[in-house]
Amino acid sequence: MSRKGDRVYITWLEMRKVLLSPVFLILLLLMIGFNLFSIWSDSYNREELQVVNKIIETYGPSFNDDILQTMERDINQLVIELGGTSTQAFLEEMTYEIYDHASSEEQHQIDHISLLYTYVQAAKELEARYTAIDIAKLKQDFLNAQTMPSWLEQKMANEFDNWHARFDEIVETNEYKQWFFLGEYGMHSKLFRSHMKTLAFEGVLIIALLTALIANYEFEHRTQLVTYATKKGRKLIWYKGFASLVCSLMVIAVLFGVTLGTYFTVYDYSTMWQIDISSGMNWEYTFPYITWWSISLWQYLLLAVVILTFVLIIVMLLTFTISVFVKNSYFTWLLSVLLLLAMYVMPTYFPNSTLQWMMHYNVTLLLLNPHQFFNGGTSFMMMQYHEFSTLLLWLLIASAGTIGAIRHFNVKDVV
Amino acid sequence: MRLFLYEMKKIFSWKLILLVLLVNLLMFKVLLEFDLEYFPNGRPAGDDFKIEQHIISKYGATMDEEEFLDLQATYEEEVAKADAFLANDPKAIAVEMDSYENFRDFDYGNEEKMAYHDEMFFNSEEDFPWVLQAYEGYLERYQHKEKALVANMKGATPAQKKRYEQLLEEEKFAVYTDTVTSNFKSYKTSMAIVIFLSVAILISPIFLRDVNAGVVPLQYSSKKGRSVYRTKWLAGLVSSILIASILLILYMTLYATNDTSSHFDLPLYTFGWDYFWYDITFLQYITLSIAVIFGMSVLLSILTMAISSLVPNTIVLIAVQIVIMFVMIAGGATVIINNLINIWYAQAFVPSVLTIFAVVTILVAGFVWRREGKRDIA
Amino acid sequence: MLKLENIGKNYGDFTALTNIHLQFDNGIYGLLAPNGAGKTTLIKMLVTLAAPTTGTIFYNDQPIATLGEKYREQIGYLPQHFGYYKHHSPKQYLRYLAALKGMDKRVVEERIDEVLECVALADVKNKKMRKFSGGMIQRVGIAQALLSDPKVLILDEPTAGLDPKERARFRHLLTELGRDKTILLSTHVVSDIESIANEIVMLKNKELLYKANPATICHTLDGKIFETAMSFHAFNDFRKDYLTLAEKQETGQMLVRFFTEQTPKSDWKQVSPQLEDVFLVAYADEQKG
Repeated sequence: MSRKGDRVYITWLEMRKVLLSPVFLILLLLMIGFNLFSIWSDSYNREELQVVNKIIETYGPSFNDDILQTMERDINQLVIELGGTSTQAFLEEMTYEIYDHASSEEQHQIDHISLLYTYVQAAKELEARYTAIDIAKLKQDFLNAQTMPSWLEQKMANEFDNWHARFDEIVETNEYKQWFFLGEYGMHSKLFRSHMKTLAFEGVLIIALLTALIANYEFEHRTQLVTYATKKGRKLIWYKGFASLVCSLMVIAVLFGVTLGTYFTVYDYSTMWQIDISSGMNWEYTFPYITWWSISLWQYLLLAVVILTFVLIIVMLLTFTISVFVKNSYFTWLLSVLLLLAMYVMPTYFPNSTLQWMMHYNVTLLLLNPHQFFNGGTSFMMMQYHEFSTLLLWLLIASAGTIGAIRHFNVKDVV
Repeated sequence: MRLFLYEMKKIFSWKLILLVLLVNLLMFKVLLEFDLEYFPNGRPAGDDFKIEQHIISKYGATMDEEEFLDLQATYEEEVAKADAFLANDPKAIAVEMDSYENFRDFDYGNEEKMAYHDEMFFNSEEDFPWVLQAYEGYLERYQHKEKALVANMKGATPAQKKRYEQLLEEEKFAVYTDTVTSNFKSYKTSMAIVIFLSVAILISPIFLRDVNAGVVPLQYSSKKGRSVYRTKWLAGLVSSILIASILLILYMTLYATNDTSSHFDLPLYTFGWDYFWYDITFLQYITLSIAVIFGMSVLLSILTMAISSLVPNTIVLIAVQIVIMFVMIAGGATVIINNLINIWYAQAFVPSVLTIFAVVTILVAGFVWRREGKRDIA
Repeated sequence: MLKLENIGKNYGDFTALTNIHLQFDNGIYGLLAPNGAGKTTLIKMLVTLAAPTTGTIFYNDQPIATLGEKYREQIGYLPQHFGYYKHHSPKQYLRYLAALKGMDKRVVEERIDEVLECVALADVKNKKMRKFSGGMIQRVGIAQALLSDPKVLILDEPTAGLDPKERARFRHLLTELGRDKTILLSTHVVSDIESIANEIVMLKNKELLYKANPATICHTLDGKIFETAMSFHAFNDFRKDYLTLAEKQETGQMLVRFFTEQTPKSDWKQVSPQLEDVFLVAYADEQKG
């Protein structure tokens, strides 16, 4: 066997420890089962959401006053077909009694009219709503709310100025005038806040577990004296690290693949892949999503998965580091999970703004807020390049930790 | 007894104690602190709470016509103060809001009026907008006391309807807000989550520890023999009782700082919003909640001990506990503990779930006990 | 006195032991058998870690299953692989086991010092066992088996990890203890028991093969063990026809010890059988596979 073949084979032997334990398969299946159940159980409005696809198919991905006027005329035409005159009056007069008496085809048509009307109205209001957003005031409020050292204050002021410029760009180029599910449905949050966050959580639990298993295997099975004394010897720890990495990526692929695959089968996004996340229709909470760059849905989805994958790799590296020192899977696993929890809790313990700012470079915030990736806003977390800097910082920390741990492992006694 | 203490010492190893401490520190920050720090949570909850602390001693659990008039008189005194303020505030006069009546019932379309209204609510030191709003709430609640119950009957199950009718018939109406009860509901749910996690972390390794250390053959062939299992089991039970008690005492002591004793003797139906199957007082409700959290913690520890004796290794132990903890948090704490005797769930729901939990746990534990008594030790 | 009547043990379809009848009085018994012959299974049943599928084990004429604590109180057991808490010192570890053995608290400390003295660990009694060598751990194991001064001592591979000096010391200790105890010593190191065992128990094919004193067992091979010398070349053919027990090369020739039931040839020198010979002959078919 070639040298390279050897390496692959040893890595595979380490991976088998995970892939052949039924416990991981069962846990993975339970998690996927839970995800699919939660996707299906609240998909009651999936038919209603189809209207966006129809709008985009008929009128194109973005809108302007002309298109909205055309739409209103078309809606009115539908109303006239049903014996009404003005759309507004028709819908206002639509009582339960009248609706109940209509044939099911007519009911369907009424629903359609009402939905189209809602979208058009929302679209018409957007301009005013965007004009009302006062970023300069948000900046002032933010700077007033806390005492910061001058360099940080300057930095944050710059952030806000850049964000302001970006906001102006969104308004000027009409980037926000694109069709998307109406904010009231909370589809962005559903996908990125609930499902993606759940996926990330599940990933953490299972990846910390499989890493603890591979890394501590020899000590827990009392084979350490044999394995670490072989020709490969302590180099085995590298293979263990690599095997943990490959297994983690496999878990991510299956977990994310099946869950997201199901999600996009249940909800039809077919016409919306090119729509920007910064679409004003996607306005869910007090602010619309004002992203730092123009990012379309498919790019955002891809980037979100990539970011979470990196976070999970960081989790894997940190777990690996802990396991070298702790050598007990129970404590290793608990400490890894608690470390992430601590990252989340830490910023609340520090009233000092500089520390607050530093503490926001933490991977748990990325795990918890996939719906806010690349968004500007009024917290330290929403700085430009925040995701990138956090990942880079923690990849460095985790890699340094892992390499340090391996070095430590190579010189200490195996007992 | 000596052996029992040894087993206790193994359970309370300093590493595990530190870990449980860390979990509690972090989870306290994430879950519990909010309901302590931010109680009552802003306005109008804060105003409600202050008024309630004042009027509960006067009116008690029910309000009669005379008490209502008394409350109205208090309200009118406050209105008079507001009138006096508004009549002398040039800004109020400028927007024709020179009396409380004009301030309250204004034209929402008028931007200047809206601006002054908002200013008074959100950016002024004057309390009257909030205080009066709160008073109005109590007055309206009294005036529409039947309506609230009748409204709830819509879409209610026959059993729920019967309960509402009973409250109506016995004239058990909501007088106060749910500020205090909803705070406690949220607090006890968090408390249950933290305690369940602590018990699971402390107890999970109990039997696996000795299997991994390889001392089981020595233990089972010693004079004590397989009764060691019972001793360890008992030590586990006592440990979980100990940790659950300590944490319950600690967190309830912290809860005491919310200073809700003014509400203790009120029956639950006086709080409105949420209705309950039984007419117990708030203090009894607190006691019941503590008892159920305690009971579930003990059951959880028994289940955990069974799992610890059945699993072959730590990895399986953690995987099983991930699932158990999910059920305990998503089901046990946020459904069962949160809604103990709430009318939204069928009257028999919570007792049935708890019974099933107890029966399943005892059956599994019994199976493991019998198995342990005769299995061959590898 | 321990008595085994018709003991058998099955694990599912697999039969580990069958039809064992044995009696142990005071003295040292060597349990000798190759790996997989059921030694450990037999011992596990003797110490109640496993229950026999058939038959009953009696201690002083009472079934051990009904005696329970009263029986286990009388035994000391050293498992082949035994566990310990790494962060414990021998003293802490023995204290814990003393509690398991239900020993009187007042005598425990003194007794612990005594047994640790006995296995020459007195000077490290408060050191954590994490750093101990294999031999030291094994001696802690022996100490715990002796701790409650049991009437029955059951030792599974007790000399594993001990150096020659420690082995000699251990054999001496056992001879002394054997006067008023039943000691069952399982091993596959023949020399460990040859000199000290009063009787040898040998198992084969899941059944009892011999139970007798070493001399009697050796006598079964009288006139069947020989030694001879030959060339290397001749040796290769020779071992195909005869069961060789030992060989060593000397002055360009092979000196061979072997077993045969044939009439001796002139260049064969008859020698007196040793226990080692009995072992090799008895299990020859198994070794050849």
